[in-house]
Amino acid sequence: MEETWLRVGQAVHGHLGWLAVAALVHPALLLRRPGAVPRWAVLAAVGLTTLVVAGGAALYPTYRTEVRPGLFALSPAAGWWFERKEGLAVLVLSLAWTGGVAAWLVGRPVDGRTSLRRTAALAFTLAAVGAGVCATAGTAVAVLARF
Amino acid sequence: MDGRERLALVALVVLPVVPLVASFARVWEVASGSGADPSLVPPFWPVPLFSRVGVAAAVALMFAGPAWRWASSSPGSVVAFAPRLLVFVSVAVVLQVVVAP
Repeated sequence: MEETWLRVGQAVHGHLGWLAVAALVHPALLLRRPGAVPRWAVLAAVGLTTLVVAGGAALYPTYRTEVRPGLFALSPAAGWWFERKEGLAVLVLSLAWTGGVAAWLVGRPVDGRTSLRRTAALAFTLAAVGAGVCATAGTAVAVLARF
Repeated sequence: MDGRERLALVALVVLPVVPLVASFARVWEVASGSGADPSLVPPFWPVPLFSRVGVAAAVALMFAGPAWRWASSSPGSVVAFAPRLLVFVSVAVVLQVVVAP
């Protein structure tokens, strides 16, 4: 029963991961154009990214004890790519929240020369690229090893 | 500038510190031998990712005080510094995960 839930969790985590990539691209593009700050796109990007990282963190202890040894035995290269994904996921979460904070500050008195809009767009762009690498690595590993 | 805006400026400086410190905590973990072989599960280091992020979050909080003073005295320079910090952190973390994943 627990194994079934872990598989469902892995599948949901993977699908939401790709959705998070799309959600991060959206504000990255919209913030490059003049106009109102896309609040809902920013909220969706930050919220979905946080949800995906939290889901990954929930799966991580079981992955570490039950999947990782077998994955490294099967393909050390894939195992190392998953290790890289872990580090990048922390970066993506941080960048998404930084983008959200910068977008919230756009138009406020501290935002003198609209540079915070560029900062937010940059943060979401970098987060989208990192999330894309994470999702690709996660999908590749899921093909090789599962719960 | 109200308190929430000042707090947001602090977050712009402090948030990028977390992945940077977490990635270098991984280098330390490998160098100390506790995480050199990720196919093993060393009992003395139960969940390395969480411990790294926890240490990084604690270090980031140490930056909160100076960042608050900086945001209070010169908010414009914090705003100008933020994009450079993002690029620096991203490049550093990517280099680190390539070298010592």
